[in-house]
Amino acid sequence: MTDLFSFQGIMALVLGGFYGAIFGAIPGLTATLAVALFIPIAFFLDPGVALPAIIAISSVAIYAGDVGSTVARIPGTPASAAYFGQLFRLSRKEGPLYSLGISAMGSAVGGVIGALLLILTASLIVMVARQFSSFEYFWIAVLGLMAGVFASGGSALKSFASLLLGLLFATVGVDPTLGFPRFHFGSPQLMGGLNYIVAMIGLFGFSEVLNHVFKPDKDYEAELDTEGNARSFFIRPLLLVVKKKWLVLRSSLVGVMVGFLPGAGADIGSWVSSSIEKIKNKGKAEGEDDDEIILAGTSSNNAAVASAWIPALSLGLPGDTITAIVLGIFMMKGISPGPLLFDQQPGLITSLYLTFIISNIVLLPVFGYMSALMAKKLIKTPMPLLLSVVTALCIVGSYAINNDVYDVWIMAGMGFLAFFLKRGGFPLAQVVLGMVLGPILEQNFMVSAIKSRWDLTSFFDRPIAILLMVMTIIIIYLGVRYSGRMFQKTDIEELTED
Amino acid sequence: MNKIMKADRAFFYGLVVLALGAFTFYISSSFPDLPEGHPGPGLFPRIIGACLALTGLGLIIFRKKQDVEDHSLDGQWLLVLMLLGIILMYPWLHRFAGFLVALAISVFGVALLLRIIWWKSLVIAVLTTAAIFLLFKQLLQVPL
Repeated sequence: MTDLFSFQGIMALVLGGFYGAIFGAIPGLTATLAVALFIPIAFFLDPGVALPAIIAISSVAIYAGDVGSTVARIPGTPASAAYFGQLFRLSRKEGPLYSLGISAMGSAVGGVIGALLLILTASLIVMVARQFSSFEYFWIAVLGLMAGVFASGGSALKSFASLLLGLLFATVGVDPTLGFPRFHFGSPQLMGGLNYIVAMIGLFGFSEVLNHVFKPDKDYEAELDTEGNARSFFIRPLLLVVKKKWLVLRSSLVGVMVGFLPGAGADIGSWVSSSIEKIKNKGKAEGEDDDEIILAGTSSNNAAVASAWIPALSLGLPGDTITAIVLGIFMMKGISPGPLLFDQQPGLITSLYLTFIISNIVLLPVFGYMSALMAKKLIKTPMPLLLSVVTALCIVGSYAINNDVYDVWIMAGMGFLAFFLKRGGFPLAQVVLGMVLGPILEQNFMVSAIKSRWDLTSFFDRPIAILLMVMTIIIIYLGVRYSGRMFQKTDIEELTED
Repeated sequence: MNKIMKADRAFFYGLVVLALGAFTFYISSSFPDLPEGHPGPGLFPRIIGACLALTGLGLIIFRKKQDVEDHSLDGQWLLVLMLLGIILMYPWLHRFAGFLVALAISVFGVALLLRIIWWKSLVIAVLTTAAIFLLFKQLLQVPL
């Protein structure tokens, strides 16, 4: 395993942060797309280099999504859409460097809080997970799936349909328990199942190209210039963070809780925290609370980026699309998340924790400042040129993993499916969740059922299994009761997916 | 098809999900059971198929009144299909011309489709292919 502080490790962090800062700042390109395009490279790298690079990319790209909002009133990422109006208004009043500084410092502090909670809670969950048998893993998968249905913030029916699609894809190929081939339609390539990594490249990479081709973006122009001094970016925003420390802490904790839910992630965290702040500040004059709303949104989204790794590392449940990709890399590399990972690869776990701290304290402010200064040029990046390169990366990425041209078709098919789902307002994260949790759910159900000679009451015998079942029922109850209320006035479904 | 999709997007999507669920259920009904009549490899696909069909029905029944201003399915369908065509042709190109040439031709086609003028498209195709070759083949030593 490559050390984080080796030459390759440091280069992975620096290049990852740089790539995230540039990519996230270009309107229409998301952190998930940045990570999806990195998959083919990550696949051929040592996990000790690839995983820290993914953390650096996602932490910086989420912040960089605010660059477009600040200078041209275009949210660069769905997370940024939650407060882009406030960012632009504050930029006009106080200058773009100051508002981007608030975003960077809020993100950095939120990210560190998320990372600290990741360090504290992941090991605790692993201690509990050591007691798990196939019965508990079955209930964990059910809990993850149900949380995923209601965490999208949009229509629960559409989320459920996406989830079922993912579960269906997971059944393609030889059945893991009994060895019976399913849904292969005579194709030897499908016998081994749908390649998860290839599917990810199609779902999150190629689908973006199809979306842009279907509805081409107009050319963007920066309305504001980011000239100014470093003081506006670093010192004044940092003082504001200190002054509003309780707001930052509260929003970060909300982000951590949302990020922990399978299938939710940074976008939802950002929307929930900024919505809470908007509700709290009702009655204030327009523009008076812009800095607070920005701080709430940015600290929450980066906290969620870190906390999404808690269930991923400790239980193998993806907290967001980025950790779903990470779990795919784990699968392909033969690494099992959960107690085994903590026992067998403690060095990797420590380097992941350290990466979160370094990314948020060093990389985010440094590359954040760089992307702020380059804002005017990044906004004008020609999209057709980028899309040509993205297509090439999707082709090479899907082909190179197995050296099989057939995978290029799978990638294209998945890309078209994702494009089609997005146009209908169906979330994509739930498809991935289904693909990840499907085999866990089925295998643990069949093993438990066979073990207990099909006495299904044994699923309700063990205390932790009962606790997980009760939690599932609570999630379903709360989901049905409150789903969509928070987002009644803003159709998050469209904003997070388009 | 396009007319149906435009007329009622939610109905169309619900119908697709319903049909997929029915198809999944039908195919998985032929999967064998375990001895003593216990459910086998068909159990999960059957449950998924049934749930998909019910969800499709739910999407149709509980759909909101169609917004006449819904333009989510208005766009450049022809360009989407042409782009898909280029990617679907890639395996054949690869077989005849090898990885590098096939990739360069595909990128050139995509760039032309994105309305980049031909000589710029050519430059993009050559440079992108060269960069990918250097990164994957030379640096990461991936067999291409």
